[in-house]
Amino acid sequence: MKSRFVTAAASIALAGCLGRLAVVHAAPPRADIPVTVTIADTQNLYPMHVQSDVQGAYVNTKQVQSLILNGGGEWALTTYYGRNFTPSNRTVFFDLTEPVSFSNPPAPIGTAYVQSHLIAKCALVKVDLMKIKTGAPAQCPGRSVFKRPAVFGTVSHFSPPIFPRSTT
Amino acid sequence: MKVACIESDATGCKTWTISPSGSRLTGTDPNPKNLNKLVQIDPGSDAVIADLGDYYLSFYITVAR
Repeated sequence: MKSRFVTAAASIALAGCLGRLAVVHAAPPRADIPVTVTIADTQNLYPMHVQSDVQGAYVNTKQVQSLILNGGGEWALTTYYGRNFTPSNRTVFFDLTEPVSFSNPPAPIGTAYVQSHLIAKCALVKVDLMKIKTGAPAQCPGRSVFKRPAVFGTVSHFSPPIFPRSTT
Repeated sequence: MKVACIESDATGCKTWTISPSGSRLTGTDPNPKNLNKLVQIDPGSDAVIADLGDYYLSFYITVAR
């Protein structure tokens, strides 16, 4: 009788441990989804500060990454590849001629077509791109990165500021 | 940035638009602008190594799967 009780108690304890293990297991990573990206060059007859390279839509290829990452956590368009920023045949146009203050330090470019990485990091604010409802837009932090010749980036103001990492 | 879904199917959102948050306008340009900080980045660590000030950026990006 005592042995049965001990066995049952051990089983319950083991089941409890397994249950905890099951809870600890993270969901498997979701697949990246290839997407077609169109960057508007003008709107209301005015040029945009971020434009396409006038070569049409950006699609996912070996050299251009155009993806919804992790099944919906982030959107990214990258026109370079590899560790050394190897350029693809696509670029993004940036216009940095409208500073908020003219006392800003000199910008690395005025206007230029640059190899770029654009990303909307919705997962950082727990937004799943796949679950955004029509008519209920989400706010996501975003940034762009380009090399000219050092590496620069534009970071959307977002509260709280969450990336990129700052040395200050 | 504002991320809006403009088309869905059975698996979820299918087409998104990405545009500036809010409706910040400057000059005579009627397009809304996003307030962005321009920074220099250490490519190895991704750390910000220089703050180059704030810039207005307009953009309108459509993403479709």
